[in-house]
Amino acid sequence: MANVHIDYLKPGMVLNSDVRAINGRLLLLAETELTEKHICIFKAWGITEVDVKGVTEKDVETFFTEQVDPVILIEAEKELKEIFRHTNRDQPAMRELFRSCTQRKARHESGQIV
Amino acid sequence: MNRDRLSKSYKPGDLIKGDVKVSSPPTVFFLLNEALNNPSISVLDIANIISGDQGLTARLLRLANSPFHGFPSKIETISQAVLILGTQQIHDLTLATTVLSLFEKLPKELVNIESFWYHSISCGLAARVIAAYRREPNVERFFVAGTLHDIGRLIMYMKMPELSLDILVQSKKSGELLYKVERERMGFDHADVGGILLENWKLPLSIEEMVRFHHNPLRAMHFPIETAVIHVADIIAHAMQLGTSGERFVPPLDATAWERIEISPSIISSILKRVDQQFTETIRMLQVGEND
Repeated sequence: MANVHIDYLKPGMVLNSDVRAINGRLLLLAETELTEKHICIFKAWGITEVDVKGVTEKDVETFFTEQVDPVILIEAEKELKEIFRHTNRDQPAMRELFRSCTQRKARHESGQIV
Repeated sequence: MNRDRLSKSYKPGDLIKGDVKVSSPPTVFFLLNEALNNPSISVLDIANIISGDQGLTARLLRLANSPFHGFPSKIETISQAVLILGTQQIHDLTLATTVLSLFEKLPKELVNIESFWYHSISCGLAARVIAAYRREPNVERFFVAGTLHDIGRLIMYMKMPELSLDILVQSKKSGELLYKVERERMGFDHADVGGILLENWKLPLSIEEMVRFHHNPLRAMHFPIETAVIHVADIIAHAMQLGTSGERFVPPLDATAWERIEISPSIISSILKRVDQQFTETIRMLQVGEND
């Protein structure tokens, strides 16, 4: 199970946990098999990612790196290292913020939707 | 030396004296504040005060109708908006939209106005998203505090452009954090100035503390969690590079403040996504001008 970004969801994937809107409203129950319509509903409610069965964090990471040119990724990392220089990246929160921002930047630079 | 001549003459309180526009909040906000403190006032009275400002009315309606609030039918009048959102949220949204007009007076040489305002909005959005994750009541308070968090820097740029420029240059040369250079040169930083300003405006203590201690979250005595949220939201806004108030670097995270907000690092990437989603739309909705 792993959180899969809405852009990468496919009909037939099965939810590992309930999907809720930001205000806590229940949208879809765990174990539901996704259809195109469900994915549209997620978009309408501003859901960005959902927890899907049978996909690991590693799969998502691999999928992402396959989509992005490694040169762009390295450039993004280099630039962000500079602006993160006063932070402590041994803190789990900062490590995760750095990682997410690098991916976001790389996606931006390679013209992908965020 | 030139440096000492510039630095000596200031205390944080001096910066907000003598300028009517800065030392008092915008008129509509003032009227609204008075009205909300008066127990015999009606929703209609409040709507009338807001309707006196057309630009504000249009922006408030756009905000009330934004998908973030998620109401099924269209809110068409201010009195509907007041009834549905509640007076507190209307008060906070009014503050956010009126204060933004102050941004128009920034000296261009020091900072790009658009960039300053993008940074403020992204911090406000990040704070509101974190507050929503925490299931806080009245998330707009966080949006307001976030958009106001660097207002002290706005005052500094307007009131002491020479010293501000000098501080910006020094930070750029040394690679030191801007607020640390401010402290070194003046004995206080932009957060202190912002805190004093909002205290003068008689804003709720929660917003004042969130702004005053956003670089020093453990000093917030009354609203430690709220202040920690702004501290983290500012860090996220910097990391997203959506704009800047002058600072180039991501400020360091206070570990205790992070623990206080009780969110898991794993939701950081969804926070970024939500801020990205809301950013363009919020900018469009709050834009002053043609579309009103």
